[in-house]
Amino acid sequence: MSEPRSLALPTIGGETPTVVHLSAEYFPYARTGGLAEAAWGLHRFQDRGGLQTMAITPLYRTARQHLRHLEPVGDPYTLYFGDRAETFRLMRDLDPASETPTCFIEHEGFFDRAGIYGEGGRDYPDNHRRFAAFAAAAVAALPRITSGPVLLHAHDWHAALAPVYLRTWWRGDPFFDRIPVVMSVHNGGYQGHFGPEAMPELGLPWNLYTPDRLEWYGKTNFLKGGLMYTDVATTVSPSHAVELRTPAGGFGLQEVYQWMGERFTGVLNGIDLEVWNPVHDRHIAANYSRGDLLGKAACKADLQRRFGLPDDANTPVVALAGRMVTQKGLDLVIRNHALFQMPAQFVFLGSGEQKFEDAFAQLRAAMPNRIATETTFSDALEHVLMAGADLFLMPSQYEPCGLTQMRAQHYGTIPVARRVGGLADTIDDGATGFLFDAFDDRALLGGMWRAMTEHRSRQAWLEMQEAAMLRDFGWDRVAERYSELYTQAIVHRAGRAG
Amino acid sequence: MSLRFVLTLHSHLPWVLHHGRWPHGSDWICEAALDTYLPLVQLLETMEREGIAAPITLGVTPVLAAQLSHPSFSEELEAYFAHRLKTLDEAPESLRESGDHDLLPQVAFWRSHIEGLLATWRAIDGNLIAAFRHHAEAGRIELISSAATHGFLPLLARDESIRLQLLAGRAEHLRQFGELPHGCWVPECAYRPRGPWQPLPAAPYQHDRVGIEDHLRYAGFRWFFVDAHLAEAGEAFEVYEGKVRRRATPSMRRSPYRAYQVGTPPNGRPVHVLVRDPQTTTQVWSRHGGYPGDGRYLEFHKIRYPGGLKLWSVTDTSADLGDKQPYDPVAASEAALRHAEHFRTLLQAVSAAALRGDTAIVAPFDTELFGHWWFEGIDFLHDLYQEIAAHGGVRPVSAGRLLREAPPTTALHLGEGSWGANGDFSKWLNPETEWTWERLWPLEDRFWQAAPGALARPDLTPILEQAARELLLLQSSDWQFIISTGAAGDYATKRFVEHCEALESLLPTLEQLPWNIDGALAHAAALRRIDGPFPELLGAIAAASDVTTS
Repeated sequence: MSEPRSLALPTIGGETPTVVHLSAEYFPYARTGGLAEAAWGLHRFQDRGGLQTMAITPLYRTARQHLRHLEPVGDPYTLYFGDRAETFRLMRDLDPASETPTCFIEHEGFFDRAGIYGEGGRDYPDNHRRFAAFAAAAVAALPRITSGPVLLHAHDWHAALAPVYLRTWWRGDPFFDRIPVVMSVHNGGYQGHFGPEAMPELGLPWNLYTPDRLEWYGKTNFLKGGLMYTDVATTVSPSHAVELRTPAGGFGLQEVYQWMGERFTGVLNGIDLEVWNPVHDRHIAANYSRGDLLGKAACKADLQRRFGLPDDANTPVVALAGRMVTQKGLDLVIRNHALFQMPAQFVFLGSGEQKFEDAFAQLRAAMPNRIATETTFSDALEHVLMAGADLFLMPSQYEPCGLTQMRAQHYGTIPVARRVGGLADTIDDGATGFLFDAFDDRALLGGMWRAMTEHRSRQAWLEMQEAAMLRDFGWDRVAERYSELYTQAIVHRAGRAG
Repeated sequence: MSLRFVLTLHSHLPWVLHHGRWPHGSDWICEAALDTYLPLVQLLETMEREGIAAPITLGVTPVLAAQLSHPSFSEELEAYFAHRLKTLDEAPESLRESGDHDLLPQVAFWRSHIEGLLATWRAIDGNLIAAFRHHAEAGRIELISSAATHGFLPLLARDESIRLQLLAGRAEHLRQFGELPHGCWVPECAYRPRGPWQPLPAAPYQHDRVGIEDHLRYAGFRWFFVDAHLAEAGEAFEVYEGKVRRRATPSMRRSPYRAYQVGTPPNGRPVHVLVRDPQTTTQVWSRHGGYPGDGRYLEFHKIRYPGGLKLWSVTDTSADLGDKQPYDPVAASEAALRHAEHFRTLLQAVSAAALRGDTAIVAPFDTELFGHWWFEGIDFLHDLYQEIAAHGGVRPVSAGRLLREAPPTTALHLGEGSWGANGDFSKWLNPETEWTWERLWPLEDRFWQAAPGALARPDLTPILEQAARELLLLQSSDWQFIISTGAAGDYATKRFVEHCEALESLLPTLEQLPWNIDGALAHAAALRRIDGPFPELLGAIAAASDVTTS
């Protein structure tokens, strides 16, 4: 691991601020998707870069399994949401093995449950109260974390009420007034909208239920509220920032993103190069590097063996892994006859919607020597796939950021992906992968054909693999970019406060 | 430090197999093979024996490669050799009968020459493609490709058509030569930057079409060639590590003796351009001001009938054909040597006068100029490389190597134009050829409107692919060029119309998507036996059709 780059922030009132991340998911305590790793990854590299940092996340039942050295920070404290009083404790993780300073909001009623967002495929009916409580309790806890200045970084809709409470409940308090806020939208499709009757339960006055605050098509919209009150907002890729500003891609909040102007921007997430690195990956058959790709051939043979495919070094292996859901563009794959006429082997890893699992099973039954499937996803198997495959297919309908394509390139596995969101920003078409535009079968076929053509030239393919592996997708770069945005937020807040 | 020298030969003939023999048809490719391609193989073999490192950047258009590897070409060339030898057998008696005894030595010269070529043809097992591939693998030539049928890209109405030309071309090159090409000979060096498009009132107006370089990048090409005046026309920017930094200083601008990055793409691999040197190239190709007009060289236009032998020298470019003197191979060989010496000194002079930042003299020519139009041109190339090996002055490299050794540091926005007459598109778009474009453009529209539906019907693939072949074949820039020059205008007109009619006969099936397609399949199969290059086009059609309209 290379030495982390040093990071710096402007001072607030002559002191360097502490960066406090608020996230409903945080690795390894609670994780359902990319949010947990994104918040953790950024925090970790900010910490390594020399920033004063803290993460605050709910103390879920799943989190308790990981925590053995929790200690309360101060006494329990009570906040009032309308006529309901809720009492919280701020707990701090003192485990010396923990990589990032982390605090937890303890509230047994809200968070000591079997699930994070729900159980049995259903959301908890009081999620609006749970995450409003998390946001307010976290803001209230800030003076317990530091007496100095704070910069608040709220992630996704679950934390989006934090800036709302900050600028309403605590308005007029010098400690809170000077706190700049950055909001990150990891998935703009999830906004946390509830009926208007939620407003009193959130402890928010009705005068905030307006189109320029939290009201959204007759509902209370957490994410919208957070965006209206934040200083700076980000999403997870520059292209997705553009998409979110359009009616087709804005999930109904495009006007808010447009209104924010330059205060809303896209920053790519990074990947963990300690975990995802073919040079020392322990899950793969042989290690390899950009200068010596011999080991990748052994990984391919291992992949073919594990998945029951013929051991054939020349036939390209096309992989597709992750959640088998409509958003991933799998409709373009399962019905694409011409795709499966190509001289390639296909490996599908993951589970999801039944229709896709069934379709892949049928394809495997029809072409067992060319198609393999595995519905039980595991991190280890994803590593095997990443190292052994020649091509990675990502025909997503939309993809705010996406990490698979970055990992694939780092493993010299060439992505074939749709030109959306983070895929468009991280794949250099024709140089490190292939992009196609239209969401239809022929466009996918065209992209695959371009890739297969390139694969037939040993030299051209090698150049492409080396170019892909040269790309920098580490968190260092991301952390530097966030420091610039924090600076923008600090300047913006200073202007507002002044 | 001396400049590098990038000699580039662009080889092309339109699809002529199965479309007549003489005076227009397969004889064209047989003539080119005897006059140029086989002598070029001999040249490469000679330089291999002599140990002369003389990298040549050799372009072979996909449609030419497809013909050179076609069984019909081998049959035609065997017959052509036999005919030439029979002519030579009969020539002495014929010359004696006509009293042309002074031309008998030329017959002996030709016999030796043709027998040498036949021996080469046999030695390479009648496989020119394999011979070129062998020399490419040995590093003596760098092979580059082109648009599939040499379509005049800036005048095609649909971006999908441009992409299909390039994608199908690159894939055919891979199929023929076993490697993907990085370089592209953009047909006629015809380039159009991003902007509005409507070359004729009948053309469908498009307010913003992407530049040719974007299509090249999409197809996987990394560099191409333009004429110097295109580089002159645009604005220059300084490049550092692939990113544009600022506008170039005046001294960095538009020298033809360096490569440039084309445009300033926000991402993606940049496309580079090499600029044709006007000074040195004119010296070679011009029949009037250049070397080929020397009186000692073989006269191209005076042909003896019967037999079709060329037995006279240029004598004087202004002389009537009747005043041409018998050809003297020894004197011609001497002329080639002197011209090679002169050319080497010319290169040396250009190199000596190079500005800071200049890297190479880029000299592209039609391959067929050497040997076919200028019979001694191949000897000239041999002598030139010997001269350079002996005296230096410049360093011969391939185009790809030049770009690896000296990556461009300046980006250019190129102007519009070609290497044809007037530097513009007028050789291909003029009152004599307007009708061809007005017929082509609606056919492009119909094909690309039908393609998505047809791609979804696997049973239609043979029909769709044959329609694409006909579309590609009718897009060859040769038809307009020949019509403009008037030399074989009837043939070009006939060929263009035939391919239009073939496409028109296939389109209704693709447009209406009927379930009973047996008749259409049989028709497509019959057409394919005649017009059959590029065996697999489905993937290229799919990739070409994925065009963003924004």
